[in-house]
Amino acid sequence: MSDERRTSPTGGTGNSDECAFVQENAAAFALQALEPDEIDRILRHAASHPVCQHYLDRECAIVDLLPFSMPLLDPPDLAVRLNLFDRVDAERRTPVQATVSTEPVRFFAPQMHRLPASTQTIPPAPSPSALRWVQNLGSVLLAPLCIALLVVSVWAYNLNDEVESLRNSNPPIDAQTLMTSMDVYAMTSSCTNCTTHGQIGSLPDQSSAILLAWDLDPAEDHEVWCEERDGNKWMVSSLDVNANGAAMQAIKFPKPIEGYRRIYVAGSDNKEGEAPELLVAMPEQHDDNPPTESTPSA
Amino acid sequence: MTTGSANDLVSFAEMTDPELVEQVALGKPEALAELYDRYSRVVLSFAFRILGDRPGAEELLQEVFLRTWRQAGSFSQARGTFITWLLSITHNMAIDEIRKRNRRPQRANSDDPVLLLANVRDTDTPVEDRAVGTTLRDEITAALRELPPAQRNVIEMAYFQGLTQREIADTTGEPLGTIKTRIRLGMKKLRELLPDHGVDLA
Repeated sequence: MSDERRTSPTGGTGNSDECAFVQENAAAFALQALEPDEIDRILRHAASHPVCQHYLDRECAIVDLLPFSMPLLDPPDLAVRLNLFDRVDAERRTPVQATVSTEPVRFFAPQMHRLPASTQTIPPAPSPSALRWVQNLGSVLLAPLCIALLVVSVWAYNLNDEVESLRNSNPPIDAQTLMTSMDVYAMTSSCTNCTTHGQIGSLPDQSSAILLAWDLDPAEDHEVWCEERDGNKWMVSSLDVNANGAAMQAIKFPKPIEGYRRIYVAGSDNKEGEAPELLVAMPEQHDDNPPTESTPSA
Repeated sequence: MTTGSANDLVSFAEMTDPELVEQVALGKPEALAELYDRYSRVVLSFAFRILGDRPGAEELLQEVFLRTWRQAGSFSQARGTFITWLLSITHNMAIDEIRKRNRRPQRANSDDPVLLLANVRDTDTPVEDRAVGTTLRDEITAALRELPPAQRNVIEMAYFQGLTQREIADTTGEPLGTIKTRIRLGMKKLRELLPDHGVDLA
């Protein structure tokens, strides 16, 4: 290697071994006479080292002149020309066959390095006929799209009316009204050492309630049960407990909650409610003096 | 092919290569026809030099211009001349074809490209020469002629036959290191010779 090639390059990320390899093989690289692994090595290094890239460009510039050394043959037969333009015309008429590529197209010029022919692939660029086809496709699709848009607009307008109508017929529940009109029953755990606790918010004559619970075991399945005054027990709903052990869920009971003796949350393996995780004993029905074991707190 | 008006044909003939490529990208086959008229002979000769048979070269010629038709939009004047781009495509496709055939190419007329050049008849001034430059071929030929035959041979085997250094070593029976040295020295000498022959490498 000449002293000139050993000169430390300025700028870039020079590496003496890689630079030496590139400079030793730049001519073969330009002639596409290297093996794929050698090409990869050169490309990797040259991509980050402009000086070595310059070596490659310089060699490629020479190689690009070689085709001009050829003796010129007689012009191609006219049939070749006719056949070519028949094919061009055919592509214009059948643009579906044209491939529209979004990949960047490599351009092999003296100013840039090249890959060997076996690895060079020039992806097909969008042909003009393909572009025209896309434009025509746009025109064809425009009308149905406009119709669809019109239909959706009409539907959305009607839907808006419907929502407005529902809003008028069902005025939103005022939070304050809800809080003041709802009885909240505390749910306690039968386990003395547990921190599990909860609340049920509802009205005695309502069958809907909101159940809040904390510190349940998120790894277990939980169910909401109710026990009627005659001792029958019903599983009302499963309870969705989040990863922190908390749950907030609307529960729909078969009948007004005042009709039950107990409402409880139990693990799925303890459906009898012998040791419920949470329990609330409901006041006696039509009793003017609510039981002391569970007095609505609000 | 759709033919344009007489005015169009005249204007296409007066366009530069980049302008024509731009028209091709816009879907004007007349512009492609003009490029074909300018360079089909160069492309055919180059393809013939690599493939070694005229029917194959004519088939490749069609494929090269068909690819030009499809990929004209990817040509960038800032990155080189159109003819360099076109011949790059020709070379890549021809070498691919050679490797596909998986056989050694048939030689055109002689083992020595310089001797082939000596047989060129220039009975008129072809349009390709006007585009490429009338003296360019002579200058490159002279530079090649000055290379030691061993160096010229390995360059030719690599470029025109698509052989790697290792394949050249296997073919010739020479050590790989010798082939590498010949390629490197041959290209170095070409680089030194070509500016002396008036070829601007810039």
